[in-house]
Amino acid sequence: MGFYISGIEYYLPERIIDNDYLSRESGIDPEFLETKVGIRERRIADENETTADMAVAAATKLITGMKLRAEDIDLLLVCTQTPDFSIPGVASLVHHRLDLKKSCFSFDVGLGCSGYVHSLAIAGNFVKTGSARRALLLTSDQYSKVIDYKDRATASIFGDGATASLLESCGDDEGYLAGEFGTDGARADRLILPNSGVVKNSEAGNCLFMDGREIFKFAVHTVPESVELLLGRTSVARDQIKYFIFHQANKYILLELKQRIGLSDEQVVIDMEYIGNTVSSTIPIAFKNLCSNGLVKDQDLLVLSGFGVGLSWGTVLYRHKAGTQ
Amino acid sequence: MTEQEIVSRIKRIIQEDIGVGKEYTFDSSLLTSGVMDSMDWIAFLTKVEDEFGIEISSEDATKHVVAILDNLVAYLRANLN
Repeated sequence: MGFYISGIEYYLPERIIDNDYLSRESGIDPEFLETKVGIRERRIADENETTADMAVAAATKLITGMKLRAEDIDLLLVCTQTPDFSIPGVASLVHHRLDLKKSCFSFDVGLGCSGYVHSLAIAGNFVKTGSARRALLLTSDQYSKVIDYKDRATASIFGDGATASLLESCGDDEGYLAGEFGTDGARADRLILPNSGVVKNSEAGNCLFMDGREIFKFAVHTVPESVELLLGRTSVARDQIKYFIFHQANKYILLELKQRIGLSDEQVVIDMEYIGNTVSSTIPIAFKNLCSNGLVKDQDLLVLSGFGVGLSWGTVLYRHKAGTQ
Repeated sequence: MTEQEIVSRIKRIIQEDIGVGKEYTFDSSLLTSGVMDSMDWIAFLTKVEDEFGIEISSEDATKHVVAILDNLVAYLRANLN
């Protein structure tokens, strides 16, 4: 038995931060943001809107759209790095608000931009082994609340958003086919939110730090290796893949990956112009938009690849199954 | 590796890999002269590292002012075996 994504929905906050605002705040050239970074607007949560609120909004949209009942959900996984609280996890808050059954086991996964593919493998394996009939995988992050909007490296790319994916069983030869995952913990401090845990550093501030150069190097070296390893292991050629849905870090990185892996323009999905880099939500949002626009067909092969905080990465080979909503 | 080889490879990276269309010189900064933006610069340094099999730390990049290509060539000559 295997598993597949039977439905995806997403939620974006209403408030918009555009390039003119960033230009005023930090002096970044709007044209540079549009042409090189590939982002015109980012959605930002209101002050009182929480990560759990966004996750519930996405989940409710999915549950309503797929006419699910709360008791249909056997597992709830919430992937986030900006939880409402350190204790308890967001999954417990969402479990209560969705009125899920007590036997629905619920937990958080603390990963960022690689989080969707990792979470897909984790939650999906419970479905695959029969421990859960249906798994609800949520991603939700609000980096807007941990960003200094005068910091050009982070202010220009990140937006808030949440997604909900339903995982169900299918045949072995469709849905999730294989995955390749890894971590380079030696570079964990290159993308870090200081003072966000029990370690306190009075000199480090409370805003997200990103070493843009190190992250670029990591991405353009690690992702092509990961893709090559996975495709080699599964004996699939690059040109058999309809779409490569990479984490939507920024346009420049995606174009560099395209060139280094040797892909066509049509194969590389770029979908961030009006939402920005929504961390663990970028891949499911891009996947959903492909499905909604009828661009992905039954049995199409896809590669989903996330990379970021950790530093960590994950690449998944996926065969699309018709009916994904 | 001779200085000429280093210069030739750097020129190829700038023109073919980064695709810089603007005119540039080896004695002025690629950044302050507006030849490269911050994204191009990050990609350029990564490609230089890949091309020459060397790691240029952020500290070295700043200390040796490698955005001036003459300085980058001198840095590479000093650090390549």
